[in-house]
Amino acid sequence: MANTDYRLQKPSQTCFDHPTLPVQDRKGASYCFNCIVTGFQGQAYNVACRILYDRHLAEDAVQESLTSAYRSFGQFRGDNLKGWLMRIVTNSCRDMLRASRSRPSVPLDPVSTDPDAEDGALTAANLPSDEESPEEFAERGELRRTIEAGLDSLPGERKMAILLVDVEGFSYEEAATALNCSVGTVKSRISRGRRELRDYLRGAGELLPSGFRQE
Amino acid sequence: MWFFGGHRHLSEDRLGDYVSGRLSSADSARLERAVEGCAQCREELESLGQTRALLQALPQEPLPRSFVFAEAPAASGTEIFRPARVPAFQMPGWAYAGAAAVAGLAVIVFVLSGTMGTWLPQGRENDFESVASTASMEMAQAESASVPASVPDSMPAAQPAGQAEPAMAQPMADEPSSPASVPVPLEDSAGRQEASAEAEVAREVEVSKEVEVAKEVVVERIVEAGIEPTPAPESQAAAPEMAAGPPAADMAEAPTPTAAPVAASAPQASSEKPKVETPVETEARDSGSTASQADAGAPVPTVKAETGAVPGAVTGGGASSDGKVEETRTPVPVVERGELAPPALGAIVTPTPALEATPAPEPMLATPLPKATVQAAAPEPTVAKPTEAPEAAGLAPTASAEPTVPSPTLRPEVIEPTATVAAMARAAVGPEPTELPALASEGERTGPEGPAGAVGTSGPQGPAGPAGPRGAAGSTGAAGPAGTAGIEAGVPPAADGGAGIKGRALSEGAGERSAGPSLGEIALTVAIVLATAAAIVAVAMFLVKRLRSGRRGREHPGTNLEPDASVIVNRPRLEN
Repeated sequence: MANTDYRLQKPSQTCFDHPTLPVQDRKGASYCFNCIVTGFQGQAYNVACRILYDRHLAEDAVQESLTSAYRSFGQFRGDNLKGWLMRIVTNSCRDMLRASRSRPSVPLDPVSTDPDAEDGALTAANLPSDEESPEEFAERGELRRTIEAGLDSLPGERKMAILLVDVEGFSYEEAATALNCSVGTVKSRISRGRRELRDYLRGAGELLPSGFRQE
Repeated sequence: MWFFGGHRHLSEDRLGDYVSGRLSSADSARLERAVEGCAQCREELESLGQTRALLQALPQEPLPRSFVFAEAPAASGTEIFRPARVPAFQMPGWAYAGAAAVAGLAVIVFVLSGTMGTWLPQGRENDFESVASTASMEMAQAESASVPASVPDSMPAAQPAGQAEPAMAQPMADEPSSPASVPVPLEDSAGRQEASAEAEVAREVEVSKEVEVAKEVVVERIVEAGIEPTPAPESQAAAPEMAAGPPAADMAEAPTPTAAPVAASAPQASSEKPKVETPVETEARDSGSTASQADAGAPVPTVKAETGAVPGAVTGGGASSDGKVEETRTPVPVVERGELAPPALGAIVTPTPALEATPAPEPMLATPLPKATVQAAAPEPTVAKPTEAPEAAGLAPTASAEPTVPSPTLRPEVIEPTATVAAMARAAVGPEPTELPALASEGERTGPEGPAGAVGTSGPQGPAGPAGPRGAAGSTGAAGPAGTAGIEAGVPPAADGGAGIKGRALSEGAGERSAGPSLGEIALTVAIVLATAAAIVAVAMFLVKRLRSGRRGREHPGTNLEPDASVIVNRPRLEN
C-alpha cells in the first residue's frame, strides 16, 4: 500500500469508518493518521507479538508506538511510511523486551496445566477450520511452535529481518527502513537467517509436517 | 560458461532474491535454467523455499482491538509512567530552603556582629571603662588622701555667705565631672550594696585597724593639746552601735572627749556643711550671739563637741530620688555647757544640709582655732532652701557650683584628719534617724556598710560629707574621696556615702551586668542558636537524603506493581 493511499486530498476530507485525524509530514503532506493506523495495525501487532511473545505487551507496544508516531509524524520524510512506522514499533518492542528481560514478570493469568492450552487457545489463528482434521490442526500448532522456536534461535537482527521480510512480507527497502540499515544488510541478514532457520528445521524435521519435511 | 569455466553454484543471496521474488523475470529464468543443471543448487533453492513457506505459513495474530484514535492524542499526554520511588524520609523543598536561609542569615548576623564589635555593646564597654577608671581614680585619691601631707592646697575654700547655696560639698579637684556623678537610681542601690558587700567586708577589717590607729592619734593630739583624754569606753563600745543605728539620745548622753577633735577636724577638712560646735560656739549661741538662730526659732541642732558628732550625720535624710533634700530632722545631740571640746581643736560650725533644711542653723565660730585659719567666721550662712539643694544631702557640687555656705575657709593642712577622724565621727554621731522615710530605711538596711564609708573618708582633704544620709557613716564618708564618690552617686542610702570606692564601682559594674543582656547580645545569641539548629537540621536532612537515595525506593502502597514496572498511560492533554 502506497503512502498516497493515506494522504488526504483536501484538508476537509473526512473518513467514513473512523474519525479523521489529519497529520502532516515534514514536507507538508497531509495524512489521516487513523487511516495509517487502520492499514498497519495488524502488521504492527503481529510483529510485536512475534518479538515479544506476549499479546498484552504487544498491544501496549503498538499503542505506544502509534501514539509516538502521531506525535513525531512531522519528522516523517514522506517515503516508506510502512518502514518508518514499523521502525517505531520494533524500537518500542525492543525497549519492552529489554525491560522485560531486566524485570522478569509473572503473568497474573492462571497458568494452564495443558501444554497445548496456550497455543491451542481458541483464537482466530487456532480455530480449526472445517477443512482440516484434528490431526492437521495439531500439526499446524506443532509447526507453529517449531517455527517460533527456530526464530528465537536466531540472532536479534536476523530474526527481525526474517520477521519483517518473510513473515510479514515487507520488502527489503521497508525492512531496511524499519531496521535502520541498508538493503544489502537486510539481504545478508535474511540470507543467513534463512540458512540458520533451515538448519534448525532440519534438525527438527520429524516435528514438521510431512509436506514441510526437508530431506 | 559452465562449459569453459566449470560449474559455479548459485550464491545464497541470489537464491534468496529468487525466493523472495526480487529478481526480474529474465534473471529468474536464467537462474531456473542454472538450477536445473545443478542438483546442489536445486536442493538449496528448495530448502530456502520451504523455509520461507514455513515462515509465511505462520498464522497471523488477530487484533485484540482497534488502535484507531477516537481523538487526537495529547501531544505530550502519553508517557511511560514509572512508579516514583517514595523515599522513607522526604521533606518539602521549602524546608531545605528555609533552613538554608536561616542558616545563612544567622551566619551573616554572626559575622556582622563580630565585625562591628557588637560582641560587647559599645556603651557597655564605655561604661565599664568609665567605671573602672573612676574606681581606680578614686582609689588612688583615697590612698593619697590617707597621707596628711598630700592634702591639696587647692581645696576649695568656703565661699562667702552671699553665695551660699544648699550645695555645699566641695568637689574633688581632680574629678569635677566624673561619669559616676550621675545619680544612680534607687533601684540600683540594693544591687550595689550586694555587689560591694565583699569589698566592704574586706574593708571592715581595715577600718577596724584604722579606727584603732586613729584613736591613738587623737589621744596623742589631745595629750599634746594639754587636755587629758578621758577614757571613753562607752564611745568605743558605742561605735559599732552607731553604725547599726543606736538611738540619738544614747549618743548624746555619751560624752567622749576624745572624739571632740575628731569632730572638729572633720568639717575643717571638708570646709563645708558639716559643722561642729565647739564649746565656745555653744556658749556664743547660748548667749544669743547668733541672730539667725533666734530668728528661726527652731531648735538649734547642736552637736556635742565631746562626742564629735557631725550635724550632717545626724540627719537621716538625703537626696531623694528627685534630688530634693529630705527634711528628716533628726535630733542632734545638744552640746551642753561645760562639755567643751579642747580649745585647740575648735572648729567652725557650718550648717550641714540637714541643718540648712532646718529653719535656723547658724554657723558659729566658737573659739579661735589655733591652727586652722578662719577667714570668714563672721558671716552667717544663709539658710539653704531645701528645694534648691538637691546636692545638699550629699551631692558634691561641681566646680562651677561653688559652695555658698559661708563656712570659713580652713586650711586643710592645719588639721590632719585621718581615717580615724571619720571613724570617730561615725562612731560618735551615728544615731540612726527613726523617722526616716523609705530612703532612710534603705539606709538602715545598708547600715552595716558604714565602716566601708569610713574608709572612704580617710581622705583628709575631702569635703566633709553632709550627704551621708546614713548617719555618721554617710556624712563622714563624704569627707573623703570615697565619700565624694558616694555623694556624686547621689545615693540616699548611707552605704554609698562612704561605702568605698571600689565597692561602688564594682557594684555599678555588677548592676550593669545584672541588668540583663543587651539587645545586641540577645540578637547574637538567637542568631547563634538558630544557626546551630538550622545547620544541624540541614546536615541531618542532607545525610538522610543521601543515604536514602542510594537505596531502592519503595513501591507505591496499594499497588501490585514491581518497583520499576512501567505503565503506559494516556493522559488527556490540557489545552492552553
